[in-house]
Amino acid sequence: MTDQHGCEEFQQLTKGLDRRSFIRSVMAVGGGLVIAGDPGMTYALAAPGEAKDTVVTITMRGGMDGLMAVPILGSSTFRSYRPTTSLQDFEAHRLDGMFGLHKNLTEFKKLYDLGELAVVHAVGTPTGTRSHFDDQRAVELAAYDAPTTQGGWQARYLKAAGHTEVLSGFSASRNSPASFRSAPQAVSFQSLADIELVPVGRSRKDYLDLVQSLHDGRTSAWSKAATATVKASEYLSTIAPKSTITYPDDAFSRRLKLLADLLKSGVPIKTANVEFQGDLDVHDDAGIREGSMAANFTRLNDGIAAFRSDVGAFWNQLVLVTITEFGRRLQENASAGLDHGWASAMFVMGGNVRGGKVIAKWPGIEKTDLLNGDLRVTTDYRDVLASVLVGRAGMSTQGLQEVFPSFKFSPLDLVKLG
Amino acid sequence: MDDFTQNLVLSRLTYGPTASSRSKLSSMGLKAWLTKELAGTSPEDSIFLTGQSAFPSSMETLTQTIENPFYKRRAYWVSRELAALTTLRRIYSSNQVLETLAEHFADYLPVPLFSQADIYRMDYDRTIRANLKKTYPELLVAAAFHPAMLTSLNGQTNTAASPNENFGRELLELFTVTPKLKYSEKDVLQVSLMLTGINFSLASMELRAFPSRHHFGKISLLGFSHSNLPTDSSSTIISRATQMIKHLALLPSTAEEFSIRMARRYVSENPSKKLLDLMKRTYTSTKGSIPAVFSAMVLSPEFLSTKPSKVKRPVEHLASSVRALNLDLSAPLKDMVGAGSLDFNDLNPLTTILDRQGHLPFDWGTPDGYPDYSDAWTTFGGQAQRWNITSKISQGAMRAVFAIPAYPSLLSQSTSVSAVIDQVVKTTLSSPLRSQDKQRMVSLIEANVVRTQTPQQQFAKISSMAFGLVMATEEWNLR
Repeated sequence: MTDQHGCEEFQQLTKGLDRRSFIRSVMAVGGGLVIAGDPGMTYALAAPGEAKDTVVTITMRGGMDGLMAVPILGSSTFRSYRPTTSLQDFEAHRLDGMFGLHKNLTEFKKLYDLGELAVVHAVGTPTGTRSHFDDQRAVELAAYDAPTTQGGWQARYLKAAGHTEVLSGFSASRNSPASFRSAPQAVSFQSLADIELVPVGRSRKDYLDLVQSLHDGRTSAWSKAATATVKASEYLSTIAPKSTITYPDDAFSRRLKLLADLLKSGVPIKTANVEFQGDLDVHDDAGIREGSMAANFTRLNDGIAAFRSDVGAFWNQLVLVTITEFGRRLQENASAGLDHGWASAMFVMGGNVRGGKVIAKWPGIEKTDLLNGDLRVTTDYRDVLASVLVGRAGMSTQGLQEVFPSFKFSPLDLVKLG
Repeated sequence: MDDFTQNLVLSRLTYGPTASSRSKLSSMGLKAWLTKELAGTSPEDSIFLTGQSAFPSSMETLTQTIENPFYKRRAYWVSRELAALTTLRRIYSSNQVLETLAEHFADYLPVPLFSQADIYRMDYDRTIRANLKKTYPELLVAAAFHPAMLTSLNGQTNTAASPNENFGRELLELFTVTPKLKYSEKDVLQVSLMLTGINFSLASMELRAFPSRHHFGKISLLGFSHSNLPTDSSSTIISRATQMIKHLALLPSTAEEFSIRMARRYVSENPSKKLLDLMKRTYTSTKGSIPAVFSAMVLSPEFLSTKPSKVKRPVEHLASSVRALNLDLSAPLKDMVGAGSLDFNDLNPLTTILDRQGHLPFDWGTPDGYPDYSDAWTTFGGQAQRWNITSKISQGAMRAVFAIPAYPSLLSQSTSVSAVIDQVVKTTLSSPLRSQDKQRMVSLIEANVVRTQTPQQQFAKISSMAFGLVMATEEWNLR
């Protein structure tokens, strides 16, 4: 079976071919719309059948505090830690008997009530370092127990699932995230305006052919990416923005809109990353009501709301997962801010999410429950990602070991199996 | 030193070779040239850097900027002025090696643009520049106690009653020993406590330690120990904190990280142990002398023997392309400079080129500085934009920003496509083109040249296409 992603040309090319024979045929002819990103790829680990859904990570770089997003309600202990950095219970949206949602996450509350959003709390990395850079890199490489593993986890997912086509990985960001490292089929850009190539000479085709040939047979990072750039540019230059929705005017929403345009244009994205933009590293004056964090949650909420309206039926083929490198310290500091901590919260959204619940092996917040003042991680973030990959992206158990090597997977009831 | 070696040196140590810099390097030899460059005594000869009418905050003291009512209302203008001025400096400064060092250490000890530190940002840049010829411990202390850094990493609100550990953590993690030393959370707290109560006072416009907010009591970490007894003296508290920072900056782990970051910036992403050992030894023996470690690196055999493998970052790509084509800014911009009416807003088309590639000077939000590894800069959007930039400027198609290339002043006139390509390669690349690549370029250019045109017209066409195509190669995009 072939999925229905892809433009007409792509679908025509793939008609009657299963994915593996299609990949071989394209490699053999050495041209066409789609190219093999990694000719040395092993297909033995490819998932059975086609991926159903596209997995989209929303990277919340800077350390998003899970307890500002999803606070504990009715807890005087919690309030005592955070006299200025927590909301009153009545200000928050109530999710269940224990947890609430920040007041500005109104669309998230609607999704929760529709059963399209789940929260995983007390979630994070297996070994927190409180370092933005070490934890972020570790989150994206996701190879804690196998340090010699190559590439990032989204790159390994593409490889394990046999997604070799250019643009099967996409990051709406100015730099390529580590999660896509070693994925030549993945591309990163922020605007369609950036990508149409201006030829040297009269013939665009001759110029593009030459640029591609200049990089043939080379092994540098630059040249390995160049082939994908030329192919993707040719393809994407035919795409016109399709959105009729008005998004908020901020970088995060512009990136979401770009992703929506690509999906609606049939670009065969299998996993994507969208960088959130905001000040989450709130050591000082966290601003839970009117300041930094309130604005962050508004931006997150409004961007996702516009995106959901924009993508329409695609919402049922997407799973969005927010990821951050760590949460914040439970006790606020003297600057009405929060220092680096460990556990945070993740949101999982999409038409096939089994939402309307908060999943948490709650570690408690009494002083003796904390680790160096931090909320403990009781759920590994890889369990969230793996549950989505297995449940909605066609990943086999064997393939999962390629994505998250040496990781013992504990499935979470997060998505409808299909 | 042959042409390719000259270009290699200049692509690593400057923002790209020019006819003038190649001539100087060739006549002086690497060692003497390096010494002169590190002295940084060349007067600026570009009118874009001598007029400076576009950047008033660059001509003010910190106090003047803080007290300037205009900047009080629009502190972010200081950041915008700095971003535009820095872009021009990287392209046009006569002191190119020091300019690259200023960028390197701005990434090492970063304070982002468009933050609460905006009002201090121009002076912070001056502080970095003023310490480039000194030792890293001196540079680090100057940066640590600058109001820009104190604001950016919350030193201003770090008090004994409730320490804010943001700066202390980054001091260990990024600016000195790094987590490889396996320091503890207690060490982070100890560093933070030693820095409590040290603020930049807007009342007195000076760095001050406030004893009422400072933690007193023994401080001990990573081989540093101080009784830190109570005192009313601001200077004593600052002196103790300075001792601690300098101690951390001289530890072997800091020497190693300093060497790794410098070698990765200037040589390759995987410098050899031999080179790193040489740099570490130099760091230790000179107590962290920046010029000494830098010179040891450049004069090591590995510097010249290492083949280009680093992808140029966007600012390096833009500056080197403009420099290779010896491009002035466009005539309208140049006229505004002459008339003293240039405003940084007029330079938006220039800074936007970098902003769209995610590399506006200093505009990186986290305290680890812009990424310095190739994978981060080989994005699809980035590659497409770079090819387009060189396609356009070589054909004179970015006239809002840059002048049209004057090819007769760059190359010997010829109507032989092969000969023109050879000239372009010789003046720009660090290694020859592959023969098949050159042949394909010749074919493409021949297909576009109208041989019935005058020799001058043919030469202009061949030259513009040759630059555009050579600058699309891996050879041009790596350094």
